[in-house]
Amino acid sequence: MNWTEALKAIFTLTLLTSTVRVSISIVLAGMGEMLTERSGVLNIGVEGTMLVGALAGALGSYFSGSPWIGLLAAGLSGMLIGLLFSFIAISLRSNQSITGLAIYLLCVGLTGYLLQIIFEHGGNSPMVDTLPTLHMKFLENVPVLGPIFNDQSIITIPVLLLPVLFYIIFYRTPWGSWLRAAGENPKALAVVGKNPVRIRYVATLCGSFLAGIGGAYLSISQTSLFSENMVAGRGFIALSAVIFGGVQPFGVFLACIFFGFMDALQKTLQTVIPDTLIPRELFMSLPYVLTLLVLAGFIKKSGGPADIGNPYLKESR
Amino acid sequence: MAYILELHDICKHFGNVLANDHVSLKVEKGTVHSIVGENGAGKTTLMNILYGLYKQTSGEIFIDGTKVDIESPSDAIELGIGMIHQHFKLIPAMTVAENVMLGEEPTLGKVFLDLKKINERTLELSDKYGLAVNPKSMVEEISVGIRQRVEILKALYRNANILILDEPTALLTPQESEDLFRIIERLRKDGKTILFISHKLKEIMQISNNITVLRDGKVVDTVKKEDTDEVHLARLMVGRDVFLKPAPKPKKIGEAILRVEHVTAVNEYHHPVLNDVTFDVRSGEVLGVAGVDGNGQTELVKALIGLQPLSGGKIFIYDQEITHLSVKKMRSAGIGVIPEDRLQEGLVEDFSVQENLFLGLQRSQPFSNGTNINWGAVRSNAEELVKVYDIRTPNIEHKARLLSGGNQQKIIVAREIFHAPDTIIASQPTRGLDIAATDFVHEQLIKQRDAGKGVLLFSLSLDEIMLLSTRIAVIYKGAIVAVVNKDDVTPEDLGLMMLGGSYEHIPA
Repeated sequence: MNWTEALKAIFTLTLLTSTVRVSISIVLAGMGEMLTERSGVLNIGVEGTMLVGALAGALGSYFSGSPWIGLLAAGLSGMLIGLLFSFIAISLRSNQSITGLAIYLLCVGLTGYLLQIIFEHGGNSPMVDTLPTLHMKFLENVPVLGPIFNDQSIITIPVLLLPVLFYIIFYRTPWGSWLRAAGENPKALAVVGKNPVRIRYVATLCGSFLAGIGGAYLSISQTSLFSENMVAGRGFIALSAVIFGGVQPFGVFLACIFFGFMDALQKTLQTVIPDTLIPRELFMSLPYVLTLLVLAGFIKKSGGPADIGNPYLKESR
Repeated sequence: MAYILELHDICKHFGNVLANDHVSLKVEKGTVHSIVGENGAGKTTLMNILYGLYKQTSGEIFIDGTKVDIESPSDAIELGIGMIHQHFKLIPAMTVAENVMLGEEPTLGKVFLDLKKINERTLELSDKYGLAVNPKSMVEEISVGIRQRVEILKALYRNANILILDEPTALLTPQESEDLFRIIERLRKDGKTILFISHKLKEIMQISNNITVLRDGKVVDTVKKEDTDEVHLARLMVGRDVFLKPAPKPKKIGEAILRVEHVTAVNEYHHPVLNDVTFDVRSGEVLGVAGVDGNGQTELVKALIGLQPLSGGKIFIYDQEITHLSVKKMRSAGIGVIPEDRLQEGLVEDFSVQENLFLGLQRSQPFSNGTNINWGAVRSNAEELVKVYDIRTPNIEHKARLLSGGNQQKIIVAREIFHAPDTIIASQPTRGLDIAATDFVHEQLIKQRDAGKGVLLFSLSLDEIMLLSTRIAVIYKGAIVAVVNKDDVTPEDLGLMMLGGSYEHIPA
């Protein structure tokens, strides 16, 4: 196989289709974490929240027979994890990074444990019903867009519109103003009679809801079962996408798609390039290595909220 | 006489400390009423009670003759009280207009921000009171003086009739302060009542109608401006006679200790910040460096303590060249510094008083034998310095951040003098300090002068330069444009030179 042929085999429409498919969970988690961080809260437990969402999605679908119930269960269980995080990190004012790490570890253990006691074996859940796909007739004859967007999961299009929604919320609504103020200087918000703590709670809970949905997308759309640790670092990738994207809706969105593209690319490379030439593990590590490089290069100039990670205390001067 | 605001017997306890002790006060509508007192006299506490940030332990507040209960800033805002905090409560990453409207944004259909109206209304208000701010500027890009006006706009937008300004000139340049006083006068003429918190007597005499003096949490007296003067106010504030008087003439001026020759430096954008700087500091004198802020003072101080890379020139202590030495070596060659920003550069806030008192000396005798710290020596030295310099702290284990600014400054002064350098560089040594603490710092610098050290004083206050200096160097655009004897110049001459004017009949 010569180089031209190899490149042709790699850069196909299928690569773009697969990019969209694998990006959705990262976009959901990334948008959620961006919302949380804008309010001044750094929740590095997203990975854990996604895991719980993935399990809840599968369980909801399994026991009710409806993947929609699974999706709702995923969002709500994500919120529950978000509530636990918020209580410890916002109300009790613990160190947010340590709390996030603890939440992540808790979720890894909890999902494995629940899987074991519910289905009496570890590893995988049974197969569950998945969310429908969306086929749009008018796209059938449209080149490029047709094959990319047709027959994707039904939540794909709404998820791809999230950055627009968040842009409007952040910059065109009073609540968005208060949210940004809470993340930049909560005391300035408090002296004009708004409660930064409430805003941080709302942002963290909504962000966790989205992370939960992002997890469920993996178990009831991209695949049709829950398996242990199936989020496989996507939560952490979303975290770095938030930094990479400057905690701005379109920036974060593009960063998530970029990481999605890299994931799709490495999967394609694995199939195109013989394992004997380059071991596939090398390709599999690609998104993670990239995350590391991005974090090393961008973390200082990200332009995120000024007060991120600092607990808000009313009485302090 | 109609009183817009009356306070009756306000008391506020913080634990065992009585911050306000039966404070009673009456404020006439449409006046500028100053609340003055030393740091720690309870001025800010009283204002925070009025603004709902603290709740008084006992006492009553009346507004327009009606008793009110102020539980939160929202209550205060509703009662027409606005507060311009000493440390601005602004969001740097938002525009001026967004900051003004924050929390009370005009909306379209109750859901969306009315961006047009936000900018228009801010501009309207700004024009009405002559504040001259651009609604669309980002707050992070505007000067401190303009930021303060944004705070005033915030209060006006919320229909404040009583404006509390907490030490509003602390961070302003003299020019910005003058602008502020004009704005205050305009607000007063418009019927607003101003509560002006300060310990700067000159400006109080300039703008007040009435003045209430607080000391140790109690009201000492309330006087009309016409019936008082600076000396009288200072006596009321401090409780004894104080005169910030010119330092006595130096006894004996000796040879040059610190010599700076043709020093140049550039900033990170390769613009020159120090331009062929040459001067010397002699034994037994105070050399004052006068200049408008931002003309190279910060860089010069850094150059002298080894923090500013130089692109040319030499620095000597006696005959020893110290130009490119490390900070540690420059210090041991005989340089001591009282830095401009005491919290950032002078102290480790979370260290105890005793640790701060030997900061930088961890490897020197008697505190260390080279590897281990001798805590006994650290403790006894700290006990000694606390006594000699009258550092008010419950004990030497107390964290530095919990002390007042004056006592923090005393720690730095004590340590740098103990370190026994040949030259002491004092950069803004009394900024933010009250009269008593200022007096103390001045006294210490003069003592060092008379002990034969060279003192290099950087100050933005011409008054301070004139009080302490033996000779005065004027810095302008990174260059020393003149070095003159103090007795040969007036403050007006200096002001002219600081702005780049030449001064013919005095040899530079």
